[in-house]
Amino acid sequence: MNRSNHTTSAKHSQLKTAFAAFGSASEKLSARFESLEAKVVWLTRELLEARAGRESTEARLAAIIDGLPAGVLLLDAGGCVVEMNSTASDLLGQPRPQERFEAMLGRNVADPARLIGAIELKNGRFITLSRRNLPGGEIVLLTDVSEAHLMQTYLERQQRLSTLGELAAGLAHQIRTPLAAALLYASQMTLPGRDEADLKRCAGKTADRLRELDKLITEMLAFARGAASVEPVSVNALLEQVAQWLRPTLRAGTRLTIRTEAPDLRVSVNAPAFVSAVLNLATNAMQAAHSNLEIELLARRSAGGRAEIVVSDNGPGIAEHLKARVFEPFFTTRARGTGLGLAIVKSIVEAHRGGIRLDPSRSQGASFIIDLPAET
Amino acid sequence: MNAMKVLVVEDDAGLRDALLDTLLAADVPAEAVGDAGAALLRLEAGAFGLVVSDVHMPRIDGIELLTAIKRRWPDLPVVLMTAFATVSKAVAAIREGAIDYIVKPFDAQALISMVRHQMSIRAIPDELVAEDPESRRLVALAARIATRPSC
Repeated sequence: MNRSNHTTSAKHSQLKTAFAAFGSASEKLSARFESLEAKVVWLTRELLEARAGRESTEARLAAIIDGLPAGVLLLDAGGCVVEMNSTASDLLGQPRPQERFEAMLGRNVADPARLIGAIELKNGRFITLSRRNLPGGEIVLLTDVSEAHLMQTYLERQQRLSTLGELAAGLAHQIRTPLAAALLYASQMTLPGRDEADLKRCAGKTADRLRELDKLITEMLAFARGAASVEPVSVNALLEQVAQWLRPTLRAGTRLTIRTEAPDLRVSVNAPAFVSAVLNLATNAMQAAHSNLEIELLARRSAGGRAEIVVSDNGPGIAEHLKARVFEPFFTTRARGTGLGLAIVKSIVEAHRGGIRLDPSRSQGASFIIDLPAET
Repeated sequence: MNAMKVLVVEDDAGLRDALLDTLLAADVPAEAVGDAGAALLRLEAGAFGLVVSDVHMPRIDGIELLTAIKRRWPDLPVVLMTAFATVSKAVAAIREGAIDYIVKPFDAQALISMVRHQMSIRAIPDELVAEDPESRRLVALAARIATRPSC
């Protein structure tokens, strides 16, 4: 019995120890669990906060891109529009299903042949395009330059008008001279003793002077207006047009040649205005009293890649002290010249974003060089 | 009026022809040149009673021509044609010795009357030479009195 009691007591003590150990372990587990639980709550909150933050950044970026004053389009590798902001859709509308950007742009431009510089859209706006490759696609930026374009057109017009304004005094002289001659002839008809032949002659002379006046006014208007709409055309074709006008007026002994160093050269011009500008230079060359006169029209590409048209002759050339003044309006060395010819030529060339200069290296004759942006 | 000619100086060929044509139509003997240099050469060679010159001309203008004429032929009357009817221009021209100016555009009658008037004034000293302006006035007065019918 005693032995039995002793055994029972030992077991009891072992159980107690075991319970105590279990209790301690359980408390530790419970504490760890609570700590883990707190960490989960904290991490969950962190996660939610991070997600909310990212979503708000994305929303902010999307809002910024959408609100950009420029049009932004994202193209895929096939060139189709994947995304576009509202400015882009205001300018170009929505793309058709599977439509490539080029086709979408083509639907919207006023003149598909004019896709350089400021592009005019059918809706009357002017845009410029810039494109960058991205991994798996391309980003296109459209900038609305309508206001700047209008301002530029307005400024160019103002400059022409202001130049015209400065010319008012010169104009008075130019207009009054043929007018004075017309008035003299017309009033001669009332002098006593005039016979039929006198009257007829005076009427003819009056009409001649009035026609001269009309020509002068037409030239001034051309100067004030500048060039109209432009289209891409081959420089060679332009020079051929000039030659067609020129050939019937060539005097005996005058030779006209057309030389092309760059047959594929093209420029964007208003052909009638530009042909008349080159024709004016060639006609000037023909005024030179020179036997065996040779006039050459040359088309070439400059070292800088611009298109150049050179009109040269083997005549007496232009005196050194007059070279700086030849493009001034009303500057003339001819008794019957209006002095507007070269000023109009310059105005037409400049309206085409070009320049005109005298070739300084020329030792004999005169050589005018017109340069223009070449079409690519 | 004597047979002395009018010399027209005008750079614009159209107007030059019209001026000459108008004077010849009114039986006024005249010649025309296109610039001041040619005018001076022509004046050296011939006897002219009046110069009618444009003011605005390339190279030598009408005022410079007037100065040159006044230096060489102080008695030769010069009328300037100007398109700019400014008082200052007219005053400057008169100060330089021009006897008159005419504003473009003008009609045939105005040109002929002006030329005839100037040539008739010039006709008087041909009969009696006097260098001093006072004496000249006296000669002119004497001529007028002499031509009046006596009472």
